[in-house]
Amino acid sequence: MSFVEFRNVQKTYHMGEVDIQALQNVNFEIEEGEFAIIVGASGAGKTTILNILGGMDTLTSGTVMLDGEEISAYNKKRLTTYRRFDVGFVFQFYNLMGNLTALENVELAAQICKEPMNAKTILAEVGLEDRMSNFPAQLSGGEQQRVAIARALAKNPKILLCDEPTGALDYNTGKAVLRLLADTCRNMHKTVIVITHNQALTAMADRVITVKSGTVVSNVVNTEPASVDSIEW
Amino acid sequence: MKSMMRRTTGREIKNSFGRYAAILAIVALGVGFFSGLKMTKPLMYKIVNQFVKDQQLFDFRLISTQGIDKGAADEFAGLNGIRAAEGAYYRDALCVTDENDTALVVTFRSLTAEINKPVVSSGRMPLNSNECLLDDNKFDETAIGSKIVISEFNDKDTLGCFREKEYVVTGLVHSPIYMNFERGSSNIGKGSVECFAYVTEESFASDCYTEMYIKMDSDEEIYSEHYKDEADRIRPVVQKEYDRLVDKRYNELLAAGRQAYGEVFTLDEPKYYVLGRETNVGYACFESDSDIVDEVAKLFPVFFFLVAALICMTTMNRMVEEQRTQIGILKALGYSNVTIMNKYLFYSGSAAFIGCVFGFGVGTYAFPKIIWSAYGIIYSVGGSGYIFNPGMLLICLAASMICSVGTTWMSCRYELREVPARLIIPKAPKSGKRIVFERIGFVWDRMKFLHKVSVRNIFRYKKRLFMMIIGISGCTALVVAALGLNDSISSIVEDQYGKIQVYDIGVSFDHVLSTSERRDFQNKSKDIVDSVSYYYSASVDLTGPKDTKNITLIVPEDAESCEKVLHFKNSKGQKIAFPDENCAVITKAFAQKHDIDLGDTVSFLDSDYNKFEVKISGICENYVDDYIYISAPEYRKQKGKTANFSYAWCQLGDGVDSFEAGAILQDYDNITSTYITKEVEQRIGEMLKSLNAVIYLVIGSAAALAFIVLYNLTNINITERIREIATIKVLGFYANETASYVFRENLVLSIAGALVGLLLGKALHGFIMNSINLDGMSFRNRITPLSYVIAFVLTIVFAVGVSLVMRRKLDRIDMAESLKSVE
Repeated sequence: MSFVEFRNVQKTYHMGEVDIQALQNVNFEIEEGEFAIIVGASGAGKTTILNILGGMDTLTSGTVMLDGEEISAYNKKRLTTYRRFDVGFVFQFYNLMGNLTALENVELAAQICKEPMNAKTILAEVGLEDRMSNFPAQLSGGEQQRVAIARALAKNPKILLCDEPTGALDYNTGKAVLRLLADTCRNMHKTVIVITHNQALTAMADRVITVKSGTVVSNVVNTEPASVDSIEW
Repeated sequence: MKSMMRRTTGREIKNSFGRYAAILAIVALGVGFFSGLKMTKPLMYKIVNQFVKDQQLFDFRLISTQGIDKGAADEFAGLNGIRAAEGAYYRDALCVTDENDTALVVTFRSLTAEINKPVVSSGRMPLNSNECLLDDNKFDETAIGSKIVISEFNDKDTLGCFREKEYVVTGLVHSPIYMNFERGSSNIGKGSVECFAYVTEESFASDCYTEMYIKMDSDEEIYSEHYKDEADRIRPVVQKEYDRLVDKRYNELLAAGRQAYGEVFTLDEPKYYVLGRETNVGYACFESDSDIVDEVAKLFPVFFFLVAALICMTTMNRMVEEQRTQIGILKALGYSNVTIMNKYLFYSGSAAFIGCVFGFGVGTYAFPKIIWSAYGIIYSVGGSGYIFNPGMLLICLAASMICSVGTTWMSCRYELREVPARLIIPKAPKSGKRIVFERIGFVWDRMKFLHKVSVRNIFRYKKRLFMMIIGISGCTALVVAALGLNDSISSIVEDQYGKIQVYDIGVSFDHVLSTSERRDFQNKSKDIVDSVSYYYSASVDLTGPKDTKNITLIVPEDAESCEKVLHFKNSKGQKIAFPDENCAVITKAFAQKHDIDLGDTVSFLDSDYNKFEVKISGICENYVDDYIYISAPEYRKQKGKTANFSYAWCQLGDGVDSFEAGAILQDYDNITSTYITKEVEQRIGEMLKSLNAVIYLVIGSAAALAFIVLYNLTNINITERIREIATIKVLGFYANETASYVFRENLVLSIAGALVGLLLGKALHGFIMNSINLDGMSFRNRITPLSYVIAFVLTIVFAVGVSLVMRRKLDRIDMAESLKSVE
């Protein structure tokens, strides 16, 4: 029994007269504590997979298991609880609350969790101890993303899901963020799943899942993941 | 709510304070207007009721042609159910004051202690018989210390009534028997009384009272059924005692006369009356005057509230849509739907709650106060007060909460049903489309590019289009209806007495004049009266298709002379033919109220229970009182005998003063009473003056609402389009160009909304006018072109004003910050 399991998952969007088949026959598994990367071209269906795993969207058919529980069978209320305690989400465009400071943004998530981490500590760990009382509008892209990661981590979730976390960042900042994610994975023993279209990053992952045209075409375990610093792109 | 949620809610209020304040202001205005107008009549009633009770206004007034014995007071006071009885003197006299040389007619009254207690508003009570108190409605404090002299030109009888000829004014006073400004008419001087004065009993040189006042034990509420029942119960008791006392006095006087002049001495039977409160002009007028406020204010607040509610709903709906992404984030973080919704419920709920309470407090305090002080022009009652109506507050709160919290809840539910993934992704912008307008080639090609963008925008965002037009037209409609209300009401004097009832004086004779008597009358009055038209009048009970109600029957002796002084016109302004055989013409207000149409057959009973049946051949315009007209031959046919034409309409000569003529005619032996049209015109005119306060309040409130609504809608439009506006600023648009880009659309929509509002306003006005249900008075539906123009211009002025105010907000949009967000 793997930590994360997708079995025959299918997702169809109905938009008026048009039916869009976003996912078909998606099958893969991820073990606990792995740093997994889901890679594929734009529009392949990666975000949809992550959304379903994160309880942000529902599937049309199939099953999704996390830590032995069938996520796909949850009703709306249960999904909310799931997102609250078990999932940490990092978005491509940060999605912070504009009228709260960095510290308050992290506290917003921490307040509702069972065993949250200390907000100040987490922010310090992502290197933002000097920027805690700034608003998102006063932070750079990289800083905002780090706040978002701190927010996700503060919840002490079972899994950390990151949708193109470096998509809006420059090379060095992006690397720093990835380094942070990798460290979190190793040191806090968290399962981290990152979505990207950047093939080069796959070298740092424990597992690489390739998605093409709405289905998984390969699921490769990497026995010798490289460190972020050694990767160039 | 966890502290972070509370904080983000608090910040939301602070950061979008314009929107928050707009909701608050709109609710406050709607609630204040509604509750304020509704509480006006209750407060007026309360104040007057207290005044009547404190000053012990009489319940019965006894007068007699042979005077009332001084001992009678004790007799009445001893009766069961009577608290007090007090005799008094009054006499009209021509006087000269220090200030003017022309003689005024003053009604002198004796001070009473237990009933009709006057209120000294400045100065002091008279202590001697040569001191007096003056009418505080007609004089101010400078009159204190001056002298009133009874003119030597008074007749002997009048001069003989007074012990003193000169009176020093020691103070100013108002009295419960003179609650309004009317002082009555007189048969001396110019025919109308200028003011009243109070003197001590000793100033009158009479051995018997001219009137006696009776006060019942109970102090029931004015105009109430309880009061009427009590008065009906006590009246026969008073009447019986009065009958006995009048008889006793008659016999005493007869005996004394016989003793002095021998058996030949005869004495006419006295005429004597027991008059109730309803004969007191001030008391009677107040009931209908306060009714008017209630009727005029009946429907307005409801529509006002509707517009306010609509805008609130829109604002909250748009806010929730705007915050889609934020709601998505909160859902992603695992916050429950309830917690998320609470943020927005608190936002709108707190704004509405504060607005409601504030509006209620200010409205229920200020509106009645302002309107009552305007009535202070006609009513010398003074006093103020405040009525707290918890029931009304609850209704207002409930309505406010439904409009704010209720609609927020509905909008939120709709958004919250979506999965977080869909919420986080902003809604796809509506795809561009070619609009119909573009097909009009020659116009489209000539338009500037930016104008084309504006036109496309207007038609693309249908929701915004409709909201602007509906919101603005609602407000313009309210202003039109308010102005139209003023037009309809203020024209009543001219409509009725300038165009319909054009006679100057109505006269009632003590019997039907013979031909020679008529000739005598016409000769005697030829210097003042130009033409006379005789008629018969009686009160009858008319049964129509719906019900039976009292109406005044008028039977003119001669159709032609009648039509000179009474103009029969239908609602289109066309002349209605004088009623023919089997027919009758009836006044419009009555017909409408009782579902009587042209061609209907109605029947009525006169006081002899004679039944008449007629077909309605005409419904004529008429705004004061209700009448049914039949021809003299028709009357004779159905009654069996000729009508008693003991009434006449008189047209006075050019330049003849109505009041003077009235006084002269009143003096004629065979004339019992005169009805001076000018006097009624004045009374109505005064009543209208105080109604102005209500009208102006309504107009002012409608205008305020219009401004706030415009501000709010413009605000919403801008916040929704921040990225668009930031982008064109980035592209290099100057501040002016940016402003015109945004406000051009606003102005076009405002003009469209205002035009629609003019139409809606006419309909609203008609609806409101129809709802006004007054006894004995109705108004012509009328909106002057000027009113339409004012309403339209006002809307546009506000739109421009709002644009100027919002201009600063536009200039302050930070390009960098606004473009940072996801889209």
